[in-house]
Amino acid sequence: MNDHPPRVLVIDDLFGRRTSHQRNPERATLCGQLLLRDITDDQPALSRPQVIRQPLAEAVFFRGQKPLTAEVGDVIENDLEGCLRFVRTGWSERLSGVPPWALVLLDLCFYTGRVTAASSERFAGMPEGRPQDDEPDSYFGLRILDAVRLEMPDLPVVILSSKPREPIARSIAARGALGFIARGEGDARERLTEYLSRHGLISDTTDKIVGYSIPVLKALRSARRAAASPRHVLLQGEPGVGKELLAEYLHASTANAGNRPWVVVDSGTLSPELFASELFGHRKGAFTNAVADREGRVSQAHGGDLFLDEIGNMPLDVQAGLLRVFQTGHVVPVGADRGKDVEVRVFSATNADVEGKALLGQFRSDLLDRMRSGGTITLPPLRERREDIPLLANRFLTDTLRENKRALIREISPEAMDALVAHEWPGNVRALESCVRKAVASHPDVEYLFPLHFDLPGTRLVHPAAKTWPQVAPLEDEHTYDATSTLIEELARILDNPQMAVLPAPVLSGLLPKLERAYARLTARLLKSALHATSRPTPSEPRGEVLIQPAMKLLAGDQNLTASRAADWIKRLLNLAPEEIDDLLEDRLLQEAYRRALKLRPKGPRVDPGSEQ
Amino acid sequence: MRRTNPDVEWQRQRSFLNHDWLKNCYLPALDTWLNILEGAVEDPDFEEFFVNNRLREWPTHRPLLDSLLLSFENKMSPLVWFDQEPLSQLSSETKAWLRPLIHGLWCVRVKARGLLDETTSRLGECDERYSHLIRVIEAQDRTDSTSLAAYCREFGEFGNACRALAKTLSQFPNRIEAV
Repeated sequence: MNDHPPRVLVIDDLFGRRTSHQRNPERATLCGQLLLRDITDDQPALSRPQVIRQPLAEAVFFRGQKPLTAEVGDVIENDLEGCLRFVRTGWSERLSGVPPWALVLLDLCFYTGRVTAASSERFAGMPEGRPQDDEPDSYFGLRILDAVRLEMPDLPVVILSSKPREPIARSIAARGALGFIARGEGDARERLTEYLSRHGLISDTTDKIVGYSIPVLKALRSARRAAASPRHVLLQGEPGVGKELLAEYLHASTANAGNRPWVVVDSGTLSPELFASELFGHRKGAFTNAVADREGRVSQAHGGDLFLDEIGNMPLDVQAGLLRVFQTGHVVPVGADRGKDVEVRVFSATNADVEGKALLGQFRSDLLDRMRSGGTITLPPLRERREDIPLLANRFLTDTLRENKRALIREISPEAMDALVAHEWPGNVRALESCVRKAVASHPDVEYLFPLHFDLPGTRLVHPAAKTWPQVAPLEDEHTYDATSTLIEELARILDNPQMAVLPAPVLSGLLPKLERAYARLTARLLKSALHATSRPTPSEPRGEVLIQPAMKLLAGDQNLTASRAADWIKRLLNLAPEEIDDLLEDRLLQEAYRRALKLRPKGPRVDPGSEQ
Repeated sequence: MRRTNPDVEWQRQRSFLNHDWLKNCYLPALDTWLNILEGAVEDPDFEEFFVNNRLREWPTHRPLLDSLLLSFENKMSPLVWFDQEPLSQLSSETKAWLRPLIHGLWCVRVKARGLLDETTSRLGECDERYSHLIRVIEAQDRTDSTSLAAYCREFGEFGNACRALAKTLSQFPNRIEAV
């Protein structure tokens, strides 16, 4: 179960501003009001932090102006480019395996000008404002909206403002904003809930449909919208893309799903003779093998949902019978004179060109129209959502290992993952799953799965033993990688070995754990230095308060590094060699950094935070 | 001071009271407090601040709201243009009949009397709810579930009264309207 709440970006001068040495009280109030968990990590840690028990979303706050932290005397200016850069970090430039912004909550009025003692007394770090800031026609929020919609048209934006909606309603709708949440209204939380469900790009919380790519999240959103209606839905997509899973998601997203029947008919496996009987049922003696009355699938689904897979194979006479059910809400079993009324919502799935078939008279167009009265949802092929392949491959690997508890713990090497991502996957997700399972089953003693272990066209499967490797001498101090030698020496010894390039795979595999451990300790030491350099003494922590974002900015040389990404990096760096982590966490700085990273990012990411898409 | 329109002091004052204080601070804080009472949020720092400071801001801001209403006609009527060029050049005789006419037309156009009456009524409701709420707070034990439900209800009703006030304050004109 994926219980990670969706992540929203809040662009707002008041809530996004940073205040030096204290938390932003207005932001905390907003989070408490809307049930948002603040994961921005741009404020000092509190001894008694705010806890949102069941957050609607995780929120990252951004001021949209510079400087982000202002004192009396500073001049605040709007920063459109900075805004766009920040939005991209959770969209086009987000890390692999990290979900995109589910929604952007955008303020309208951004106050600029000089921060005075008076203005700062009211709201610390806020400027006194300029006349044009408050003119609806020149709201900076509208400029941000235009720029975001132009560059990232799929990113849903909702206005969050305490300004009156009426003067600006037409303008924001014309610009593509999907809604308006009035901060002073009592239904602000309910509105946010509704907008998240209706417009948000949210992953499948049941974790059946794995992926954070935009095409998949859009399909899930379409499904949630369709689930709110009693009308029938057509699901399209290539074989193996997961149409049945999407149908299950549709069913599960329906109100009162637990009490609704869910019936599946795989039309592809039915012979033409059995089709009508399977769908509508039959009476005893209706045909040779009808030895007893049998209830059909349509009747079984009464009051619920019926999933018809592979409808492209449906015989024309069955199509006529199904059309009658759609038209009359009445189903008559084969061989019966009378039937019964049914109330069924049908999700039909096909990978065939049913519209083309309808034009050729091979599929009834009137039936097709009924089948898609609630809309058509298309699931993308895997090659159009390559960013999901690492998530999917690791998920299938985990599933396979879970099913076989005695199997070795495996890991897909980065090279193999690259090969999987680059593959075209004509068989889509189903083929990827089969490929991963086959690799595990075929190589029971291989801990790290490399490209040669996967049966991909273009990848030669060569067993290491079948190849004659050059004879190489073992490293002189193969067993002496211990704490007595310096880390740099360890790394240099391994990496500088001129024989590395020709070492056979088994020898290389033997070196890997040592290399990983040495690398992990070196990285931890660098991290510790960065944490030490950026820590700040406070009354409660005179030895220096640990600040993970500044430390990772220093270490990564990236001033734009977000708090979430910093947390991901910390987790990644300290998990480079899992067997070392207990030793590393003996250190106060590393322990505190790890604790903060886990608090900020308890789940994700599942893959390397450094691999940009 | 944040401002809506620096040329019009009344707008600044309204923006401070309605936008900055009521909508951005007071109402969200009431909602957050209700979420805390319902167990959805835990925030010890906020709790202390709300109970001891934020909630008690109503009586301190109340006179400012009164003053805002009292100054509305003087500050937002086009009469202010008679003190500026070119209307200031009009003869006393002309001003004597034109000023009340302009003001009367403006009052009708912006429904000034109705707005003021409605806002005064909303303020009265807020006062009443606030007083009742404070009495309940002082009298009740929050650890008792029945009392807690009543306590939440009182906060909810005070919040609704404040929201209605905020909505009415938003209906006042944003600039000096010509007639």
